[in-house]
Amino acid sequence: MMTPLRILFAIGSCLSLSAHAEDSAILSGSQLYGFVTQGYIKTDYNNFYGNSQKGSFDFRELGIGVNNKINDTARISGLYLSRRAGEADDGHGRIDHLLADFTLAKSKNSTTGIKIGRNKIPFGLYNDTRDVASTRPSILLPQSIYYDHSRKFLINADGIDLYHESWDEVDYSRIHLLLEKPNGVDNPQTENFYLGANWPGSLKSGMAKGVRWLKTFNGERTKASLFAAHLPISYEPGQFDPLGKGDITTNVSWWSLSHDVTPRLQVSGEMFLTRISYKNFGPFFPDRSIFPLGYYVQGIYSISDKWEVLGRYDISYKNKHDKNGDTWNAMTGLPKHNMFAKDLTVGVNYHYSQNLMLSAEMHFVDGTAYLPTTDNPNPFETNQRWKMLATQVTYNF
Amino acid sequence: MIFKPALILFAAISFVATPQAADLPKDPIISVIGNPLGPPKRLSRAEARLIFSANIKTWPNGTPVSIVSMKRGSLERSRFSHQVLNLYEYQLDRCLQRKIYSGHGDGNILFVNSPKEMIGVVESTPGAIGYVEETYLVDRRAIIEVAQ
Repeated sequence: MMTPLRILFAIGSCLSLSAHAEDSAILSGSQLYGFVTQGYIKTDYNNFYGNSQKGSFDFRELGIGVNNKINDTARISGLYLSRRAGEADDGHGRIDHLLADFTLAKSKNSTTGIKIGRNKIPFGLYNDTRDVASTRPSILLPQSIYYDHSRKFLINADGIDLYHESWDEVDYSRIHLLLEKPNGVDNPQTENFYLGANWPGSLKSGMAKGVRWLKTFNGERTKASLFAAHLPISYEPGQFDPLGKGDITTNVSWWSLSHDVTPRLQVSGEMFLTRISYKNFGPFFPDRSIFPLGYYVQGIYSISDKWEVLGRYDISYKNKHDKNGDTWNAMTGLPKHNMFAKDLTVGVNYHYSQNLMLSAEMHFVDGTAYLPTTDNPNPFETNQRWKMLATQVTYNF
Repeated sequence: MIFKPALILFAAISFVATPQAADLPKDPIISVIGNPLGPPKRLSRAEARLIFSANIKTWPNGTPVSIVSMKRGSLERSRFSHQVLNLYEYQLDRCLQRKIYSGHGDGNILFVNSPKEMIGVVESTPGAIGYVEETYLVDRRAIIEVAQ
């Protein structure tokens, strides 16, 4: 998809040149920003982001972004990102988002616009900034909602995002209609997620349709969000492939709610409901539907201008009709605990300055559903009950 | 293993780093100021939060909202965030960074280096809203009252 992105760059450059006539420092303002994050992960059993049983520094994120307001109705924004996360992410640089945002209509309390290019997929409370440590409440986001073991197709998509935002004196709301093609579908990680193994063939994404609604209440104290999407994927068999030319349809919804009990205490919860249907893969992979499910509750308390603490209970099921993994175990012989994960997390952030944040968190986990298979290739060597200590330092500018 | 000491450390931090309302200086007083064209003369705290977290794009008269802020990490910004918005500065930053890094940021925040520059930019930019220590204000007509 480099060609459309180059076109986008060209559009942006032209708009930028035309905007030099603007006299106001604010209207022609452009911002350059970025971040560097380094993490350390230690587990007692199982591996997460590298060989974490021995202690792993294989977790780092680097990003540099630009946002340029061309004039009152046009803006470009982009972020170049490198992410290293064990065997799951190799640190190569990529365009995280690159878009042109045009205001189509505006009134005294609303704006309607369209974002064209590579957009972030805006599900949940955190997905559209999930790789920016300073915007996350914890080092790892709740894995029931924000999969890291098969994250690539959940990050960004190329297409259009038509949005309408409105506000009154104390609250705002936004609605997005998305018509986009997700990136990161054709890779071993996503194939593993959908088909349970890396088969000889390849996955091809169709055009996804999505809608996102977000609204705040009580003077922004309460925030509710819903994201629903339909994603068709086709499978093209490779040589000597036991699978046929099949189709996968994903219908998904994410439900999110957060509430500021006081300005210092925020409580939030999210739920992830999905139906994944398989058709025409042949006798080795009968037609069927599965229903992954995930949810969590979380509290974040800002103790002072330096410290904040977090507690969270996070539950993932790979199939809500087989929560304990009995059917899975009978079908495949693989461990039951591959099908669920219950994660109790406590964490702390220390804001040394506005630019530098240090974080640490402990995970007490029952189940291995969210372990990256690339870091744990043999499921029989995984342990059902495991603990993880994660630490992180992040600098942003 | 290191897991038990780590857990004890978390518990210790939670108890030791107790809420310290006094850890941010309360004086001098920070006032919100606005250009005569656009911002209202009176705001609630919730309205101020909505504006300074860049969630309002135009004033009721149609003028675009332009936020003027002291540099990140400055004492003035920290005091403003605490006194006026009742947020720690990192909470305000998190709201703004979520807009910017999601590609939804609109770059309408202008960062300035001094109270003098702040007053000058707010005076000369229609729709501008900012803040300054009261002692720097010569013309108090620019003050926007924020109900606490």
